[in-house]
Amino acid sequence: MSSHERIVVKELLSEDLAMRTSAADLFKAVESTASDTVEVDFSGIRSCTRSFADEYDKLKHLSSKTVRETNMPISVHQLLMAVANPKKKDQVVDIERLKVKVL
Amino acid sequence: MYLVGELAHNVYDHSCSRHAYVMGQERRCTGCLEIAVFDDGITVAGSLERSGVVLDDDVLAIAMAMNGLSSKREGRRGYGLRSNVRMCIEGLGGDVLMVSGKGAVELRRLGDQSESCQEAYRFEDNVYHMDGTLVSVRIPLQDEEVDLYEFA
Repeated sequence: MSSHERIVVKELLSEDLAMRTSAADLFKAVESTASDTVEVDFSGIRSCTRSFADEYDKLKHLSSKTVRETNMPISVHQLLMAVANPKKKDQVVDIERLKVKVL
Repeated sequence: MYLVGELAHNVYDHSCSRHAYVMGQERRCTGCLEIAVFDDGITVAGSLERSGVVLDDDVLAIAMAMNGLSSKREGRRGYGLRSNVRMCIEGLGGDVLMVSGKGAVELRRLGDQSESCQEAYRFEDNVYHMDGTLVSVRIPLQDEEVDLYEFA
């Protein structure tokens, strides 16, 4: 039994990480390994949504494995930081001042 | 890709739609990139209602979704659409139009000003009605990259 297994994200999922369900698929693969420690290799990843990052972060904390990321692009790292430390939701739409026209 | 990915993800996560479309075009004559995502699902208000948030006003439902109200009752949800709208308006200097059910909300950047022009439309005579949700963005073509972290 290997004590360290490696999952290449772009081979399992895609170069573009968008869906929460994709993060769930990734962690199904992580949990199905025999190792206690799993290397998740992000090499070749072009884009990642906040939603994927949020689900990844949530599932990583729930995982029974020790997950170590390698080759993580800075943009993915920043998103993971953002979801782990969510900012206050300032209003984007000022509902009180919104001009509503009836058509 | 971030923008399209997040908008498409919302379709799967919230719309309960049977069909969805992603459209995009680069318009060099106006110097803009236009992206639209449409689904024939249950509308923003319908999605919120399924989670127990009843808003009998499509305009209000759209505006509150843009502000981060999510039909998923988890504390960390509701950032995706909100971050996309902020990135389009504040980061990329673009416009966002969201139409759902009998309502529409349009946000436009006002030149170099930090504030956006915000307008809404309510369709009351049943002539106009969208069975589903459309999110359309228009972004000026540009070479500079946007710091996603600033808006995430």
